[in-house]
Amino acid sequence: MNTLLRKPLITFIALLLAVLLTNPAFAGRAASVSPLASQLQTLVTQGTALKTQLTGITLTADNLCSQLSSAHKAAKAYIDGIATVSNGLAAPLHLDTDVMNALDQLGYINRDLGTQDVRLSGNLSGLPSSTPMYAISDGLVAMLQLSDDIGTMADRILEMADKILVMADNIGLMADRIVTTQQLQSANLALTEASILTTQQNALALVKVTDTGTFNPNLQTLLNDGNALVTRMRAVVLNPLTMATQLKSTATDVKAYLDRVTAMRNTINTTTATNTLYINADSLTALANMSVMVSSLGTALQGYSVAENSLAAITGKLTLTDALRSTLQLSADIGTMADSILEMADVILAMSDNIGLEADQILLTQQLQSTNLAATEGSILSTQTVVVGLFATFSL
Amino acid sequence: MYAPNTRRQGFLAFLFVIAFSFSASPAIARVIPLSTQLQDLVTQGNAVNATLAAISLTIDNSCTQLASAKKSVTDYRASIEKVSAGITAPLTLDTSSLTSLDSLSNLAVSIGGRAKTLSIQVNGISSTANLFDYQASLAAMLRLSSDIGAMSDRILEMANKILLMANNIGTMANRILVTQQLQSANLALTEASILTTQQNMVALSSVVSTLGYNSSLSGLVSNGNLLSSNMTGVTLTQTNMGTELARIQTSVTTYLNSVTTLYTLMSLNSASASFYIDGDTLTKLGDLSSIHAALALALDNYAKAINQLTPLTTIPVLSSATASMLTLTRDIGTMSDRIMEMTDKIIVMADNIGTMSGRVVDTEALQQSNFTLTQNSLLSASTVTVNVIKAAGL
Repeated sequence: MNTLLRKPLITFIALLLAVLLTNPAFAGRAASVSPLASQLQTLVTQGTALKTQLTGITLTADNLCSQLSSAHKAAKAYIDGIATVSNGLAAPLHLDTDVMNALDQLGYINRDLGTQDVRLSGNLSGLPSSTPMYAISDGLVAMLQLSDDIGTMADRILEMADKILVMADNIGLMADRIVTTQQLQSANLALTEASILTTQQNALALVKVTDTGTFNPNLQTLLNDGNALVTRMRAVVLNPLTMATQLKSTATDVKAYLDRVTAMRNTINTTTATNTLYINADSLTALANMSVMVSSLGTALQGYSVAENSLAAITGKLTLTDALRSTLQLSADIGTMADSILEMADVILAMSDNIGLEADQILLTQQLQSTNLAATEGSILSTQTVVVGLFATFSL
Repeated sequence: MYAPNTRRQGFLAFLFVIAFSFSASPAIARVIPLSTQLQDLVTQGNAVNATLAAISLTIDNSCTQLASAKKSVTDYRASIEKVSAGITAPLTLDTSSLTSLDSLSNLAVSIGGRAKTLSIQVNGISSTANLFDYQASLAAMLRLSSDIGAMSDRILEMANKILLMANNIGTMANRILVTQQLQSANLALTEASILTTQQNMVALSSVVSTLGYNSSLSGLVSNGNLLSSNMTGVTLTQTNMGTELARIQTSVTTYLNSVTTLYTLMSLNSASASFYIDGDTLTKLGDLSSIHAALALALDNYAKAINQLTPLTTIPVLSSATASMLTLTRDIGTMSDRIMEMTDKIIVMADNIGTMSGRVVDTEALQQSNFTLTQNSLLSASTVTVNVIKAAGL
């Protein structure tokens, strides 16, 4: 009977203890940790996790974006955590050693985060020279953002400490401990700021930008020579006797010009392998004008195919075959030229530093180029249709 | 002199080397028919298309997913260029090759469409994230569309090259024309997708010139200088310290509110736009950091004056003065932080970081040096104030 009664009593006491111990208010008192100290300790845990995350990162060309992006997100969450605690502070606050210890630890964590920031910027600077510029460019912006995050969290921690001090009701009693914490925080803030400055300098040293204005003289020369080529192509009047040599000569002329366009495209590609670009509006205008010029080349070519169609019946088979082959060559080369010009504009846009500022001009250029490419391709298709038809008709 | 076994081994090794040399020689290597090479490209293109189709961009995976998409398109383009470079005349066109060219062209359209879909997904991310968070995705999308455009060009150029080198154009004329018409129409579709992708991305790129902040910054510089003169001109006594510090505290709070307003505006702008740095903005931010160092120095002098006057001052006045001192320390520290943060935000979101990097580093160094002076003065003022509170038993 006694045993039967004792068991429920023990169970009841155990349950009561469990309920009381899991009650935050009671548990807080039992452990003698103030709510503020507990909140700060949560921040210390979060900050330590962030430090561990940064310490575990070794940047490579392949993981730059993912690692720095994830670090930024964790840093942002930590800043939000600090802001939540800071915004929730209300006077009067009672300072104790746990609070001061936690503030000290937050200062140390920030100093360590600053050190990791510098290490990561060293990783970025030490990437192999084969790393594409677009990856470095993304990485350095992400590094600057991470530095900004670490600077902001250092500021918020110091501001929270100042706020706690302003709201404290026992400054006199805790004076020595407060002064120790402030000295420590000030020293750690100085170290954090020095780290951030070093990181920013490391990242900015990686900036390599080329103003597309440096391409303008070459683009303008290409444009002028292209327009002269259009004039020469329009001046050609095909006749059944000389058609083959006329078109061969024109094809050679166009091929030489295509080689220069290709060289220009290669220059831009080589430049963008190691530099980002600062768009000069005149470069976009020159590229748009070049697409107009190539469209004119396509129109002139289409004119040749119309003439060939008319003259085919009175042209020798060998001459016609050579002429048609040259026309196909011309259509391929003019098509490649149109592609190259559009690709130059695409690469400039993809590697641009200042898209926002030049957005309107970029959109205009892209639309114009797209329209001109469609016109060029239309001429090329029409030309090839006629030429292939002639191959079939005359069994060439 | 050699033993028979040794000689035989040497002979076998010689034969092996000869056999290996022949098998490794490109001239002897088996020539893969063009139709097979084109079919391999179709297979690879299908895989690239499937990779892009499987991508669903979120703010957390966009940079890795787009980097992987770019790599697969770049590798594919390299494969197309390799096949194209290996084509030599004369070629005999067959239906299988032309069918593969059709498929390649259709794939280019499909891949272009995938890029457009991804650009719409980036657009979706933009509605829930700050510009910085999706800025890398935006740049990656532009690079991807550029790669897809180049890939599509290479396919068309390869088709043209094949046509040019063909020795049976006449007999295959009808089939060639079908392919040419399809490729031309597909190129237009691909280019339209790329253009839409670029337009979607460029539309997300807005920029704010920091020139727009210069007037507010000039106001802060003027008011900061005025406040600094005001603070330097105050002589604290055992009777006026409470009221004078309360007055200064009000001025500093008003000034801090102005700094915070500009900071908030700049933070909001940086969430949705990048910055075009105007040189004068950096100069003014540098000037402000000097002013804040002067404010903190004045505050430190107040603390020293209060410390000297403590024995002569009544507890209520001293209590009020030290409370103001702690608030002033907090506020001047906060405004100093905000100015540094403004500069950092401008740098992170800069549209013209390349051309301004030298100026940026100079400003950062100046601000850092002034920030250190400010913090040292604030620490000194705060330490003295806390010790006064302790000594006076407040």
